[in-house]
Amino acid sequence: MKFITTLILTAFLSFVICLYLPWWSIAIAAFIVAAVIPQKPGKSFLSGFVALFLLWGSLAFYISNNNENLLAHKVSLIILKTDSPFALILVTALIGALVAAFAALAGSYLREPKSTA
Amino acid sequence: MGAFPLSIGRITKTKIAIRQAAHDPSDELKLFNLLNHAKNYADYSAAIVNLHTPGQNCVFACKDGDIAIRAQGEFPAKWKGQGDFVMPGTDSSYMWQGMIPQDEVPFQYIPAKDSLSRGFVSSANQKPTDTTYPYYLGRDYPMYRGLLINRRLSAMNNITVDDMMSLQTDNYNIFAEMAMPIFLKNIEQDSLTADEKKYFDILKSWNLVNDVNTKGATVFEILWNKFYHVVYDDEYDNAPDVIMKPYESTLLESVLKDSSYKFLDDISTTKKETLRDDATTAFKNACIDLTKVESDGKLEWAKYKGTGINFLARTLTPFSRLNLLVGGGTYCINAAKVDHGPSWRMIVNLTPQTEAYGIYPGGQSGNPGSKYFDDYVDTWVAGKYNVLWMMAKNETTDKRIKWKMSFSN
Repeated sequence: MKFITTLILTAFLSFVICLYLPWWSIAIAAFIVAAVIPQKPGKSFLSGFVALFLLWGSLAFYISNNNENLLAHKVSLIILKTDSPFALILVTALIGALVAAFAALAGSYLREPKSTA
Repeated sequence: MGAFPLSIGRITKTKIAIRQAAHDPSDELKLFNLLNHAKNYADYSAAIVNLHTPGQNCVFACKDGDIAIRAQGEFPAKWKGQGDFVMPGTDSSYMWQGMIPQDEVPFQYIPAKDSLSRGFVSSANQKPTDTTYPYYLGRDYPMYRGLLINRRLSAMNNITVDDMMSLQTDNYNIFAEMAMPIFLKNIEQDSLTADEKKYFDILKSWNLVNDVNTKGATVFEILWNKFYHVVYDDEYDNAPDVIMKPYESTLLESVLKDSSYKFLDDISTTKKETLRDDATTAFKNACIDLTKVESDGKLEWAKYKGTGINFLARTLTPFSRLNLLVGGGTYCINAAKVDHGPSWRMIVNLTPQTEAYGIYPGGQSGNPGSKYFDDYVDTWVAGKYNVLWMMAKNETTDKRIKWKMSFSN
């Protein structure tokens, strides 16, 4: 249950915070949630990962789909050297997921010494 | 309107200073403000002199039937040849001595009542004056397209908008028209192999039009290129590479006027080469390239030419539109070259309610993620036009108006 809560909270907070701050503020969101709701480091990592993977994946899909992946077709050719909007969305989601996962891991380690001490 | 070309030879080792008219100020805002309020030729003339740089061919047409053209700009008054080559900067007598007075800038005015005139003005950046003009305007002027445009316009009567559209997209190659007899007369057909003969037949049966699917245009282009090299390369092998090479028109005119043109001889051989030798050698060289071009499936003119619209950062090729199937070429009215050409096409019909048509190979949005980024490219490739909106006073509340700009003092 805690896992689902942190997942939803991380995704929600990331979405809101990114309305005002640059993209990397997802790290702040994941860090705060992991610090406030203590979980084992591995679980924190996973919840941050899944939260942003789903959030950025669906956001990127939604935005790109709105103009029939016009820009994603071109940008995937530039960055990935292959015409695949899907691959570009996947990479986008993975980048968000990894940033949030490591931030959540850091947040969870902040609480770790207390629970073991 | 087109800019006048400014040629500076490739100078790599010596440091040189240049003075260019483009460094001087010009008042285009005033020009366009006055033009927007102009009602007749006098108003146009008063407005246009505010354009100082860069020089532009500015055409004029009025509903009362007056037409005019002016090679407008602030041009240095040069003696013949001044500035063609590097001059000693330490001697002030080589400096510009003054500007051509604005009332002596080249222009042509044809009033509506002048029934004897040819009835049109035109420019394809050809030299705007003849030899009686007292000032030197440089040497580098393309002549072929202007010649063809004037020939076409002279033959046309009661011109409609459709006629102008097909004129602007005309792919007839006037340079090839002049150069073809040289090749057809001088290539020694007996010495050709069966494969070479095939390309010769393609060339011979070509209708001189650089259309998308024509193969003759490709054969001619490669052949002319090889011919230029066969004639000049032997001399230039011994020259420093900073020397500018002759214009293509120089070679064509020389060979047309003098079939024993001095440079036809290959100075690296003891034999005295003739026009027949050079034309045949060039053709055989061309066939080597043509065989490769054909095996690449690019013998058709548009595929061989590969016209493309490049995004500003050229490495981002997915933002560009490359290998478009468009005809034309350097010496066609539709001068679509590899990466530049007649991008803005416009026709204005001065009927009581002005009609205007225009197209350019781009789009209204600067965002590569918008479908409006490059949606005019296909229309342009097809040689079609969009209807332009000449807004009337009673249309100020039209729902096509998206924004308003307000000015205050």
